Amino acid sequence: MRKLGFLPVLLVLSGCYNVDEGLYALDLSLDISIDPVFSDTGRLHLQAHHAWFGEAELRHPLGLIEAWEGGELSASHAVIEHTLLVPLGLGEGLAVFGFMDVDGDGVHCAVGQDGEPSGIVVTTELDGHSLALDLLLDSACLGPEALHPR
Amino acid sequence: MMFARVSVLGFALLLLCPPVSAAPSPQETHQRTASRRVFDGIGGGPPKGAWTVGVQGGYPWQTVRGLVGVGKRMAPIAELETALFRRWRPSLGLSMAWVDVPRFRLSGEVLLGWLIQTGAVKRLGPQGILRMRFSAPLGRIAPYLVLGTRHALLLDRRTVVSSSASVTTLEARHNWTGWATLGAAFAINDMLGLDVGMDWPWVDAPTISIPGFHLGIWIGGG
Repeated sequence: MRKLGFLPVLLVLSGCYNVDEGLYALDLSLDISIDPVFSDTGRLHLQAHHAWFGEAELRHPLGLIEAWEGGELSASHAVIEHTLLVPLGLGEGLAVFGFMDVDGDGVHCAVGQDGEPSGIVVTTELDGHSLALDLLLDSACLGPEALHPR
Repeated sequence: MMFARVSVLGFALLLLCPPVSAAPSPQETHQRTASRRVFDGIGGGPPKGAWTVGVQGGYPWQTVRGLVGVGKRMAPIAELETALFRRWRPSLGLSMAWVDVPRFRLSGEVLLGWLIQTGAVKRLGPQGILRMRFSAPLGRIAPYLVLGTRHALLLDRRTVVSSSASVTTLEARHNWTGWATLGAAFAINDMLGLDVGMDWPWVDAPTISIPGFHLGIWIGGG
């Protein structure tokens, strides 16, 4: 019975935080390759998503975690290191999407520009705080929704 | 049949609203309006020993509010407000009438409470409220205006778990809500009254909020 005395205190304390956010630091090492049929010069754009997001009927592929720029590339192969803060308890797995912004307009493809390569890599193995992934950019103008294997 | 209905209605009104006698003096008028507890509810600062409890229901805000006069036009307030039963704010505070003349009352209120909003957009934290109430009793009717400013302190906790350590940081955010209510109170008798009003809150400013309306019933004594 004495233990129950802490219950009100626990309830009050648990109600004190407006947002109580838990983040899991993940050191990503991305080995990026670009299909030789595409230009290998341009600015690399990357997005990290939960592979799946939501529950039950509302479960769907992809839930954006972070988008960032991977810098200028001038070769068909590069290794990008990035620390990702993954929200705990919000989604399953990890998907990393990337595209090469060849014309430097900041967007993936446009009217008259259909040669910007993209690719996605999806994993469910998130044990530990470091993860190495191979990302091949070999599709023209396809977004993460189209590339997700489901 | 129609005559009978009108007679019953008239009799009921006579019971609820006692007839006014000869034209009162300004002093008597003041005493008369001051004795109507509904005006304390919407105007604030009831006299010592007087009490008022009111329930305001409407869309989207509902409020239960009580005041008891303990000093010279000073009264503790207890208030519970909800918006569609998803946003709650229990508060305690103090009301004080700064100006109380025959046709006008100005009071100020300070309240401290806790904001509890559930659902997709969660809000939790202490909230302080400063409020001014202007009312102008004219016989049984008192138009009133309420202007308020609400300040909530929202405390966020962020825990980053890395390979070397788990680091927790706390961040406090200020959340402001402006408030205006324009309405009118009607004293049925000294103990019982009604009020109707339009509410213009500004929740999570600068996001624009929808206006609301309410109907209130007040009882009091002392």
